[in-house]
Amino acid sequence: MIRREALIGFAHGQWTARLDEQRFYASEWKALREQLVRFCRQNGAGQAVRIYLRFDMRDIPRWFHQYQTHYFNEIIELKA
Amino acid sequence: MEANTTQVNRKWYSGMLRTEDWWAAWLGIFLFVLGMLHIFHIDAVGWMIKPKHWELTDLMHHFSWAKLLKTSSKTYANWHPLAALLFSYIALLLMTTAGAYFQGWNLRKFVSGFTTVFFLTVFTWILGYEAHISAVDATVKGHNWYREFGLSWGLQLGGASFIIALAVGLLIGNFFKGWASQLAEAAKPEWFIKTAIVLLGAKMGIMAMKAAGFTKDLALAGAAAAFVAYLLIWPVVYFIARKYFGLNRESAAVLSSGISICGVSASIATAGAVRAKPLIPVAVSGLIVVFALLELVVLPPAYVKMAPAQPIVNGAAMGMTVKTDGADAAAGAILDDLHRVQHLRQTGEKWEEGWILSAAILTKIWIDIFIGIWAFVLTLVWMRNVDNHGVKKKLPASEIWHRFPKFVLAYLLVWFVLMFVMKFLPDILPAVKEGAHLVQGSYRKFLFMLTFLTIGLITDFSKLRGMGRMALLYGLALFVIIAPLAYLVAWIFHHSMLPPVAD
Repeated sequence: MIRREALIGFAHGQWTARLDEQRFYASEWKALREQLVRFCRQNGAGQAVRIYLRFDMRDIPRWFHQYQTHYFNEIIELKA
Repeated sequence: MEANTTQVNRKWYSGMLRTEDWWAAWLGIFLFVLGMLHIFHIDAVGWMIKPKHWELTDLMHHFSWAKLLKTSSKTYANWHPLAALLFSYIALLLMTTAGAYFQGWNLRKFVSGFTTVFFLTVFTWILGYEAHISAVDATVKGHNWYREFGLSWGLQLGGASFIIALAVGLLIGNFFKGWASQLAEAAKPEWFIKTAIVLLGAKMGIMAMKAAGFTKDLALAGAAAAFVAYLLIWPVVYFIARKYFGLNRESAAVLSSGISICGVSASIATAGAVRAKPLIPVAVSGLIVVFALLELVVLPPAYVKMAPAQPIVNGAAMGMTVKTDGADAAAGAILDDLHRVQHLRQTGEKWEEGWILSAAILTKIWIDIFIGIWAFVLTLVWMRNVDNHGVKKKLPASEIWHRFPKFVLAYLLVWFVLMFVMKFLPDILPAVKEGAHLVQGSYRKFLFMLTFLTIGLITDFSKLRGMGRMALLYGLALFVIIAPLAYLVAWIFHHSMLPPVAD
């Protein structure tokens, strides 16, 4: 199984993701995840892929970090 | 340093050096360990200043710093009060600046901001001990300050320093916004209060030595009440937000958590859980902070007036009603003072300090712990019912851990260390108690004072502008649904509990 990590963020009203050198943008979360899935399927060479989606807290204003230090992580698994 | 690159929670130990939550744990433990050096006959904490009862005419007649300030322990009693003040400032500045450095804050702004905040806090702390404001006409520990100062009148408020600090903070935060923004880097009420709560663990340990059964009951009742409040209040607010205010699912969920559970912390956790845009909790948080301040000012005197014979119920209800840890602890401290002063004036009997406050904090701590579990459950529900398109998604159990309030671990650690010593190491118990008493006394109270001042600094009432519908929902939900329900739950689990009488 191939393991990938996508760093998730939010800027200027859009969800963002960085996976390898690729950047993804979408106004809705589902649309961003679909882009990531599509990309991994196309570049997975037919193998099973596990994508770790991890939110980068730098995109939450720092003032809020005193209240909560985690937004979300998620794992997506794609079959071979 | 991690703060300069990404701030991603990959491992269980992620954020140990870069988050305020962890730094509250580190600072609290550090101070506790310093206190424990008493075991080796080393007093490493007694230099911390604390105010003395003073009277204005007397001070003006013969001014002396020694009438205003003293050190926490007799070891340093021969220090000049200003030397102790300077040493306290430098020591606390070094400790907090270490945290600021690792968290990647602007050190120049932090140091200048903390310096101002520190001395403003000391000023308000001293002011609150003026006899006409604080002295109560009753004998406590052999002193009746009201009579000893020969007062003909007095407000008899007991600990008024908290209110003065809050008022000064609010004044600066709302009328001198340029100055407030310069202090912003050091205006960290959540950090200060979480560190204070860790030290409150020492207080709980000491209290448990005196009344183990009552402490256990208080902790268990707090857990049960917090759990019931979650299940009861959240669905009601969510339903109203959807049905009568037309909010979408994400906004309703975030707002419900913010109003009904634990303010900003829960709203961010819920927003992440339901994959809401971070803009939503940011918008909701402005409301939460302003309303939390209103609650902390309005509810303590209202509860004391409404139910003077139910101090622990009132404390627990406060923990479930007042949002944000800082505002809750602040409200609990005010409630503790008001109840004890009223009881003292009416009966001449002094309830031990800290139990009512602990009731408020214990319910809040349980709520903080449950946030992670609640967010996890919400994510599962969302994935299954709302966000269930196509691909196979897994929810790592570490999500609960990443949202777990780490300062609670330090609070429990400190508490259990004291319990352990009491049970298995009775020979060193007197020294341990002495050290614990010092850190949970002056340091904890000073951190509370810092919290009051900085809550005032960060509360900007102008943020309510343009939030009409949400503000209306928030106000309605808070005072019509949450406060009564929380009170009912608190009463069910805590009624007839009374604080022990002080020695």
